Amino acid sequence: MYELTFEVNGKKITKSAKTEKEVKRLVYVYVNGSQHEKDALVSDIVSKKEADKLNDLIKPKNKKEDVSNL
Amino acid sequence: MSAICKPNCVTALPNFGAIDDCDITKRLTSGEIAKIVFVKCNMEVTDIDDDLEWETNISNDLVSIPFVGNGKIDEQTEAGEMRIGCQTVSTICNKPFEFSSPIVDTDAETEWSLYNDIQKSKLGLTVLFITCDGIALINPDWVSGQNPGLPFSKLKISQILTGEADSKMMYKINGEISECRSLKRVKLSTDTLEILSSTNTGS
Repeated sequence: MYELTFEVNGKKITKSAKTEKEVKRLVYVYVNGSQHEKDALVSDIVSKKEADKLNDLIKPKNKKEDVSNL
Repeated sequence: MSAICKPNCVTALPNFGAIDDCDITKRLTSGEIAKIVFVKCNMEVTDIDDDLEWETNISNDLVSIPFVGNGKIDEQTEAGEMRIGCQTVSTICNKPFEFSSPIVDTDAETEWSLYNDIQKSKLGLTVLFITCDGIALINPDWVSGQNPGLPFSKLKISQILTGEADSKMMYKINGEISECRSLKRVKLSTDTLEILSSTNTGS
């Protein structure tokens, strides 16, 4: 699940998207700019999510290591 | 032919190849307008797909949605041509639209007055459309906090009685949107569509 917050002139909209396709649709509705700018934003959102997922996978591993060290 | 070339006018060309068009039938959308929506020209919309925001705007009398009908937006016309950089540039651009509905208030015969109210308010209105696929066609510049409607340069409302056997009276709304570019297409959620299509704010 992606949590997206669009902010223009102090107005905030929070939307959630289940898929990358939905992220793209929302970015095209709520953001103005060229295809390249919008697609770059979509990639940023998706890659940040991927990075967060990786971090989540790494974290429990670290915990395990901590336990074994005790 | 012009020898003028300004490559800095091109930042990045759009890449249509990024959209998969192999399954053609999946890539088609309705060309029919089912609803025309008039909004007050200073009405700001934070979220175009928020049913509660639409409901509030409707109850505050900022939105008027005539009865369901059938409409279209035609090819744009361009005028005010000037020669700039050895190219003919149009300075005026209009998209003609047309919408008609045979629905009337057969209980109290009041709908004519509502259409007249729209006619006399036209200087303070903008317009947006909803297609049969539930797509809203709005101002391409819309961002949160702005008016999603399109300004029009012409609006005509006609009450038409053809005189033909078994024909029905209908109301026809014709106009021209002052916009050269393609309109922003927004797929509305079922909740928003329900508010916009079930509420006859004009009745």
